[in-house]
Amino acid sequence: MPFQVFSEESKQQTDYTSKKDEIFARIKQAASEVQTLAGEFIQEKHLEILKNAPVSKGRFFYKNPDCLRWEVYEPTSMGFIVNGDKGKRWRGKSGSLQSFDLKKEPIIQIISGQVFAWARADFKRLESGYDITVLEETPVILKLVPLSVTEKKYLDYIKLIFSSTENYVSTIEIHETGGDYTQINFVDMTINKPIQEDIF
Amino acid sequence: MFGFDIFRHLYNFFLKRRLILYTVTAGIIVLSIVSLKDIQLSEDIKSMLPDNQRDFTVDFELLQHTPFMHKIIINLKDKSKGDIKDLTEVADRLADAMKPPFFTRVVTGPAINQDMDLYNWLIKTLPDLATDKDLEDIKSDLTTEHIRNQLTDNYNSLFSPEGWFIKNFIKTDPLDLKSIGLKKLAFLNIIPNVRLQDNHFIDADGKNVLLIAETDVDITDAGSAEKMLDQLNVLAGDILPQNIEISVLSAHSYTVANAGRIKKDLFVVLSLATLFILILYIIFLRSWKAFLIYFISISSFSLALVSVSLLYKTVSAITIGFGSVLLGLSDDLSIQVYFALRTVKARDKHADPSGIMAEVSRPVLFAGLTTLVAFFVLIFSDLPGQRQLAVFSTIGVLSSLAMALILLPHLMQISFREKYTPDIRLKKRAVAHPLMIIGIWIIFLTICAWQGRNIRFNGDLNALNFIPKELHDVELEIKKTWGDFRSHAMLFSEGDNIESALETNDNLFRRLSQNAKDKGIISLAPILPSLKTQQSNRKGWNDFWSDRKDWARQLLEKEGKGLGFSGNAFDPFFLNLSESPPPVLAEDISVLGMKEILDSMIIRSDNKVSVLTLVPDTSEMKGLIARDKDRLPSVRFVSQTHFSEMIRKAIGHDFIRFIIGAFFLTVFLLVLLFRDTKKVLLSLIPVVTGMIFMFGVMSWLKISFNIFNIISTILIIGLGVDYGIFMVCKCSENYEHDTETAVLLGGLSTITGIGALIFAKHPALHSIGITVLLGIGAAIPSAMFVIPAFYPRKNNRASQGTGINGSQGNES
Repeated sequence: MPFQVFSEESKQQTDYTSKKDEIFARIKQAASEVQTLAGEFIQEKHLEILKNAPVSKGRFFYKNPDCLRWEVYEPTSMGFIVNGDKGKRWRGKSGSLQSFDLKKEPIIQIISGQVFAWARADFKRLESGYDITVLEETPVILKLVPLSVTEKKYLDYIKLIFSSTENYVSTIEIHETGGDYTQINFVDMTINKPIQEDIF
Repeated sequence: MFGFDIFRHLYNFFLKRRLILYTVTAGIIVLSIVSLKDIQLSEDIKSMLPDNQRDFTVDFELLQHTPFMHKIIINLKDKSKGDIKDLTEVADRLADAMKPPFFTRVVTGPAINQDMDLYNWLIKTLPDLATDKDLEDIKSDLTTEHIRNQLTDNYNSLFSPEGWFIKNFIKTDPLDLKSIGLKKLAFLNIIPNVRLQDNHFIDADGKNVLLIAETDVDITDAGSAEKMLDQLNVLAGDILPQNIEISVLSAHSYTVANAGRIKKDLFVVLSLATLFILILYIIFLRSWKAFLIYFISISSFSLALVSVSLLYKTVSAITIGFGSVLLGLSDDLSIQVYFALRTVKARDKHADPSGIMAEVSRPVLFAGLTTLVAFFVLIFSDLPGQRQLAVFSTIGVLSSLAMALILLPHLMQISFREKYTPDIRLKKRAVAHPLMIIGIWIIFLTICAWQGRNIRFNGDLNALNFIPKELHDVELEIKKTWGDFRSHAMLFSEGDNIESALETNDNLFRRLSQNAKDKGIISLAPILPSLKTQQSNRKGWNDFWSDRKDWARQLLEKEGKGLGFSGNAFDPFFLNLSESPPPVLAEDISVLGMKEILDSMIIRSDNKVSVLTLVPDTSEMKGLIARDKDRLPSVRFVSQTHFSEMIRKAIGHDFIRFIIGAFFLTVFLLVLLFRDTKKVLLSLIPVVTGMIFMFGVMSWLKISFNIFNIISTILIIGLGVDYGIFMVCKCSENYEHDTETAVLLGGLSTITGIGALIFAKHPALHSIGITVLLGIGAAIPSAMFVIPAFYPRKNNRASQGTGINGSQGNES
């Protein structure tokens, strides 16, 4: 009975809402122990303009508090590095590194800002931009709906699935307003392993 | 002795009619003082701009349209490493609090929703905006290889962080035609270092936020401007946290700084001058009657001011400022009469004042008339303020002359049984080494003349503004943070309506693009061409794509398929190509958040529309426009540098005209009065010495000559020749009055009174101080020592002794 299902879902939702602070606190505690993160990612693009959903692969490095390397190596080579206020980016295998000031690269600033906020579990900042709902507790799945009218025009919601250890995000789904979506799965993640300085 | 009997008769005539004389004079003076309150004062700097050449007036009016000239630029700087969002929030709170009556509008950023709309607008309006050159560029890119590369690039970019943003443009603009529109948009970037974040003007470092406020407070209204800036400070104090620093830059800041500086300077200078003159009078005169000289000066000032207000609608504040300075100097005439009457009285209590008046009236009248003609030449000035000053000075000197020669002799006879007090007067003395004095004087003049040949004119009115260090620092800080957005040269494309003005603007832009390579040009033409140009562009666009659309579709689909794009991926692009967009109108630009720019670049007057183009204020650009003058008849070039150059030329022209004119008129009058070449030439010694010394020292100290120095120079001519006349009469005729002391006192009172302006920090006041101090400072000793050196025997015969002594000197 649809009505009954709706009621069940609402009840479950309410339960998670009441546990939201507890879940956030748990994630925050787990994240506070993370100093470095490294691993691979697989990105699937489900776009209307593409016949198939192309898969790209890449590497990901994070070092607390503000170092990030995001690197795609298949099917093309590109990426960026953020280290504090500064950054570098490249396109193509032989592409030279271009330095940039993070403040002048709004899109990278948004992306790295999101990564840093999730790595540090900075819920205060995240909740200022998104309405966050807990969908599941084990594993923790969160749904983020943008609050900004501008962002709503393009972004429907973001779904985040946490690892079983709850100290990093294992899957991100970015759902756009028109129905397109991107899924990024993080695999082979290593936590708190030393990362070479020259990575950033 | 040659005397003017008319003044003897006048004295005798009023001797028995003193009551009438006093009553009539008092009536006129009281009436004039009472009328002062109704005078309409104008602080408009235009009174010092030439009004007989239309170019000056028009250029001055057009300069007022310099973007941001009448706006208040507020920079908020985050001194800590805070979030830019916190800074923009504070900016919004401050903007909200800035309300009427002082602030009519505050802009924190463009009224635009987000970048996407702008990009889509650019893509959709390309048919209206793309020129033949743009179509040539597109044509060269429509190759299989280029399209393959472009689509590969598009495909790869989908995996980049910006992928989600770029995806929409791949659909509507797979060939990246929007880059053509973006290049056009760059021509509207008035503030070079600005970027937008959350619809706020942010600097490149993300540390500064810019607010642009509008106000109804006139930039020349110092009182209201001060209140407005105070209000802004109060709001900033209440709203801004400690880590955020505010800097304010507006024309009002300069007005307030200048008015405040002038007030402070005048307080210091007038206090010092009053004190010094009082000390001089106490030392030299030691009598209450000394205040009669003050009384005559003040009365002359009031009469002159009221007369000017009757002749002119408004009285320039500059006229009053200068006029008071000039009339302060006309006390020399009364001083001469005072000393003549005082000397005789001290020597012989039964002496006849009417006889003294017959004697003294001649040099006093000569001196008064020469001063008068020196200033009267200003009536031929191109500057309305100077013409007003000529009228003011003429009436003032005439009043002073009349009171000194008719009223003062009677006032001097008033006795309150005062006790005789010994006073200072110079002893007559022989010139011991006349040839040596003349020799030293010639060498001195030669050195100064040699040095003075390098004197430079400075026509920049801004150089006469007082800019305090704090304001200068704010100027530099804002220029460093946001780029130089306040000092462009301007080109006005004029037309009877917006369409014709835009057509002219299109022609201008084409010429500039061809010859100046787009460098530093800020123009509406690329993004808002005239309807005629848009129609032509649309036709060109349609013709271009009618031949190539199908071919481009096949190519895109073929290459796209290879990369994995779906068959309908580029449909939105082809849909746009088949649609005919409406023409771009000024309103569209406003909606896109560029209202501020548009408002500052389209200037509408009653029967004319001007479209503004900004270019670098360089001599190359000026030359380029001058060369194209015939091709662009409805374009007017205006720049601060060019305007200053025009003023500089006008000042240079005025300088030569007035100084030479005043000099020759003075010589002419001297010839008429003396009819003796030697006397004429010797009377000019103080003038020549004062001017050459002034030029020499100013050139040596690298002080350039400005508009205020010209008027001050005429003052030196007028005053210097007075000293010459007094001393020549004294030395060449059996004139026994105490001329040296009168010249010394008159000169010293001028130097201390007006020369005290050298302590002023305001450049204009300081300029007057320098001119007077140097000019009069050299004129006095040349009058007192050089002129007597040409009459050695007469002086030797006259008396002996040296130095300053009490009144019991050798005359007694």
